[in-house]
Amino acid sequence: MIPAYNEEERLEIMLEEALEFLDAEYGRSPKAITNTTKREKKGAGKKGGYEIILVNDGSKDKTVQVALEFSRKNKLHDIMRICTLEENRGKGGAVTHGFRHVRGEYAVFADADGASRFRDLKKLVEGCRKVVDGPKRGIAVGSRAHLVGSEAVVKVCLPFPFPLLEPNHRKSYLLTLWIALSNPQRSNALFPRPPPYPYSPSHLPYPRHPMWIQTLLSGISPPYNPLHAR
Amino acid sequence: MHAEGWIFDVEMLMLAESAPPGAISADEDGDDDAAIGCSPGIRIAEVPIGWKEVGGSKLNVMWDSLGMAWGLALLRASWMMGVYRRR
Repeated sequence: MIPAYNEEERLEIMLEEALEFLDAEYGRSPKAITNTTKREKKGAGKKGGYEIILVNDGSKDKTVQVALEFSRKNKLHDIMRICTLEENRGKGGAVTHGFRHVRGEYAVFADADGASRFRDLKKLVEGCRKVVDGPKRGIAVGSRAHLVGSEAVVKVCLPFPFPLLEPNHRKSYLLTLWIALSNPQRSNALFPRPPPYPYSPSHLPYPRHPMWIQTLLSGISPPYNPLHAR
Repeated sequence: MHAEGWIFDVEMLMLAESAPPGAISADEDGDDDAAIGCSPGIRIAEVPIGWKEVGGSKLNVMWDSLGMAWGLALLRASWMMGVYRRR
């Protein structure tokens, strides 16, 4: 189940990735099981198959047309269902609505932007099987927590150097920032002058000192300068 | 489920956690033949998945963060007020 709001550009890429995996892994129609295990004897005796439910959350662009076109191209007539909300409800609303249309054994929702690797759905289903209980309830959550600190996340955070700094540098960075923000009126253009306020930490220059700018840029506290010490 | 915004996943996990207990069988295939205990709610597996940054996100970091904080507070309040009822 895919909630989509104004996704005409990203949807097709995501659907292609999804379809490739789903066709290979589950196939388009349920198949009779040949090697029956204990569990499947009790069930309907068929396994596999999938359907795609697109919840169009009141999109104002061609999301539906893109999806229909994709469906025609890939002969998804009985597999893809599109349901359109007249007004934009928000992601939560779209997901809640979409789950009411799910008919399969497993319900999965995926973002339309294709940021998550779709073939990891297999891992999700395995994870879900492990936690499922008597009344066949279970949830598997795709997590990106393991990516914290990896290149993908650091790249996104790069404009703000804070996460990259060592703890000591982090402290001085924050302190510098705090002084800069809390004392704007004390800034003085004539810089080789001791700081006018009594609570300046001795290892930091006063605002507008060139050293201060260097500190912000590099995130490293400047060397001790006895001239600035009180 | 009541949340319309970004906070719906937290709500979903909250509802799963507070669900009535279910029997857990010893073999991990989910049928109810040999119950070895009860789960506190619906059990949740956290599975690491691959992820790449895709441009064109509709998430506004500042306003949607505020919205999420508000949604979280609202969720808490409605939970305490008893908005959620089990059928």
